[in-house]
Amino acid sequence: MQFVSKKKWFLKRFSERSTNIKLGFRNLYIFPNKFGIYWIFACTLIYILGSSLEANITISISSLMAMIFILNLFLTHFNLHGLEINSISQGINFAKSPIKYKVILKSKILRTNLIIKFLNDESEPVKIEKIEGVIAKFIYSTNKQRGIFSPEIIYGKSSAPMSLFNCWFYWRPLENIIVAPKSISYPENNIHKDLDGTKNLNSNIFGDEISYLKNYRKGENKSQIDWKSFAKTNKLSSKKFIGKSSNIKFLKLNRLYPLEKSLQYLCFEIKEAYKKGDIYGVEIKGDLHINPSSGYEHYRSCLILLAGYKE
Amino acid sequence: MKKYQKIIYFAYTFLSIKLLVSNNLFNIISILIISNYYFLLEGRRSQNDLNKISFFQIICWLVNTIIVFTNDSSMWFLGLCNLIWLLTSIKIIEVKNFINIKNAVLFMFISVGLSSLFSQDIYSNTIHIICCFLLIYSLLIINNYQGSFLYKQLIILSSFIPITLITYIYIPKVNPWLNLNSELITETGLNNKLRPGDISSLVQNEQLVGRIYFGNKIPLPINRYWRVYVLDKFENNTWQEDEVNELNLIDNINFLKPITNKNKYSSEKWILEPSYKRNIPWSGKGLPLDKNLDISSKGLLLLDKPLRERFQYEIVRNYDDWRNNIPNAIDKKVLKSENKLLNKLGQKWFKESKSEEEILLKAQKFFQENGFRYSVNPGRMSKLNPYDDFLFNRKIGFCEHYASSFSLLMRAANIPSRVVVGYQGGEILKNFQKRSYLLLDNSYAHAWSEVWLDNKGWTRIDPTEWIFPERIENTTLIIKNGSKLNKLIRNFRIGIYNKFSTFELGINKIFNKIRFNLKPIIFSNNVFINRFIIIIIFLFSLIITIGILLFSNNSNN
Repeated sequence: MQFVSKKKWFLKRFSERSTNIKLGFRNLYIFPNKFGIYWIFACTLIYILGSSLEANITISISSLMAMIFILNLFLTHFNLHGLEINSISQGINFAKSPIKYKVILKSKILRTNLIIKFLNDESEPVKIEKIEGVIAKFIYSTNKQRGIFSPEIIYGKSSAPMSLFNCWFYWRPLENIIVAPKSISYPENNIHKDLDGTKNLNSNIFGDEISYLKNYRKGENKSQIDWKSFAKTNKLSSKKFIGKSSNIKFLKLNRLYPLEKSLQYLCFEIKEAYKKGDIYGVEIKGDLHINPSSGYEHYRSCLILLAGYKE
Repeated sequence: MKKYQKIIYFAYTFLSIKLLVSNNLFNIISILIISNYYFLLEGRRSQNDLNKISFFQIICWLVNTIIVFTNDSSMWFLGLCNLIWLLTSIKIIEVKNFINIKNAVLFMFISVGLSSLFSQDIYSNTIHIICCFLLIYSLLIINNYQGSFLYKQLIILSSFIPITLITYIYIPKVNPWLNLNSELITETGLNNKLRPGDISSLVQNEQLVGRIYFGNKIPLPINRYWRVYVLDKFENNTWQEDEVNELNLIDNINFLKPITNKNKYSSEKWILEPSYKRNIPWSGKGLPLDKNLDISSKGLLLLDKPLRERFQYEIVRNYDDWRNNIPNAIDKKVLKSENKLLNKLGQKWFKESKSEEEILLKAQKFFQENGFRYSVNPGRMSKLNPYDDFLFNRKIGFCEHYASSFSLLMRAANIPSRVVVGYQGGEILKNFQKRSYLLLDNSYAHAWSEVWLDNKGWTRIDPTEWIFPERIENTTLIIKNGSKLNKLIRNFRIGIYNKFSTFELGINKIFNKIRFNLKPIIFSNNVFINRFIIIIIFLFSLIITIGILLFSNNSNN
């Protein structure tokens, strides 16, 4: 596989990305595997001996073996033919941790023994013993740095029902792999902890009351419109004021640390806030921020912001 | 233990028992294969231990094969098969460690294929077919391709049968590719060559040859001669069959026509074990009722093809017209350069005698009065002139020494002669219907002479009878004084053999009829159209089989 995948023509052939693939004659490939080649050798040997010594039962055993071989060509192909694989909105992975890529497999009939993995990836392939109906599976990949990546080509293989043939396919899925920074808590007795981050935000940015900006909606009080931001962005935003007792936080990138380190601390803060069910916003710099909210989608958006941030 | 492991072990046990029963395994290999069962049933062993076991066993095989090969070079093929069977038994142990499972299955397939070369009777075929299907089933289970109900599993397995049969019937049979012959797979038996020591080594083998039932009384021991080969060519101190004469068959169709009530005539009914040869034993008197049998000009009973399965045939009437066939030049040929003393003696008798009978009397007197002895192990004779060495020096020999040297003496005395190889005697036993029959095994192998007498034609002379009449007159041989355990095992085998052979013959008849119907149907006289139709049929059956397999798999849940 290593040899083939490095070829230019190969990469060109599978460069198109798609949200799903339906396996059929156009995208399935089949060839006898090592066991299948041994099988044919054994079949030929038995046939030669049987015909040389005119032993009918020996010839019929070789016929049986040959027929099993031919039937397996079709059975192995039809084990995958018609199987549909979809790539869906991906979850968040963290740097320096195994990457999981979720795919949905749909099949109306029972299929057995499918192995899928990312091509050129050293992670253990995913073995699926039975596929029927709709099932979700994770394909694993080796650790990656922070970022948003286009996934590698996915390689799937099956040799069911008798391991004589390998039937395989390649597919480049559309959904990107999101790798957020590794989450690290602030070290104990850290002098910079109180100078930036959540606490600083709470007490100093908006004075006694914490506020945040939200898109202006018709019917809202016009006195709440933030005219300064209107002058800058030409967009109407309304200021929201919250009392000191509220759980709402605004998490900010701590500039006192190197970028990657501070992103890791911020990631930790976001995770903690998400676990506690807090309402929180994230600001990286200036207008690169996400307004406070809660829930998984908000958590995901915050981490995507961290994953994709470049100075 | 997982299900597929159980199935593989089951198939392996079946095959091992078959190999042990049919005597295809060398003694040491039998012991090793049985001992491998211990490793199989014992707890899990490390791969390192298994490698050591394999190494030791392969060395044992090598030593054993070298010993066997030194005695009989034709055993090389059986030696190789023994290696494959031994390797298979080692691979089967590895199945326990969940490694090389598929390779073990493949080894099993090869082993079954090789085993099927050696025995093709109904029981062996059944075992081989069952083994094949068990192995296919195990492969399916390994890949989770199994029906939830037994009948569905049977559908999956049986779906392979029709297309295999179509392939088997319609696939063109190629001519033998390798220079192999049936001698490689034949168990020890009579041969169309005779060298000093051949028969004495054979009589120590108690391999069954067949059973003979008689229409009238069982003939007296002195008349129990069953001929198989006539050896008329003498070269390099070896008697062999002159193949030119072999095919001069007698057209017996005209003789068969008048037979309306065979009970009027004496008859012998044979149930013969597979010998993988065309020559089959008979008394030399009568006509065969089977259309596949014919009598050659030398009085041999020949099948149209080598005998691969148990076979029943009947000889009726007292007819031995072949005895009047005039001798050929080969029956008179004397090699003056070899065995000079023997030739000189023969010529002396010829000069001194007035008739053929007088020469025969002189020969009888010579053998009876010169201290000749009969022995199963006479030792090796001189390589250059073995018959001179036997007649004038050692004077101890087995039947082949007496028959060969007597025939050579007769040729030297201008009497055409030849050596006949076959069986003499037989053990009288009773079957489950209390009917007496003669049982023949290889220990009754014998050689005698035939001489051409002008007024009698080809006449049987057995010089062994002059030296050791007990060999001919006794129904049980002296060499059969085995231990009680041996006798017990032998009687047990004969009992089983009796019960199953009758059943098998019935099954064989049905199979022969089916086989007749399975002959390829010719759809058109045009070869291309015919092939085209066969391809269509093949593809059609292929699609149906795939459909059945896919459907049966999908309807599992």
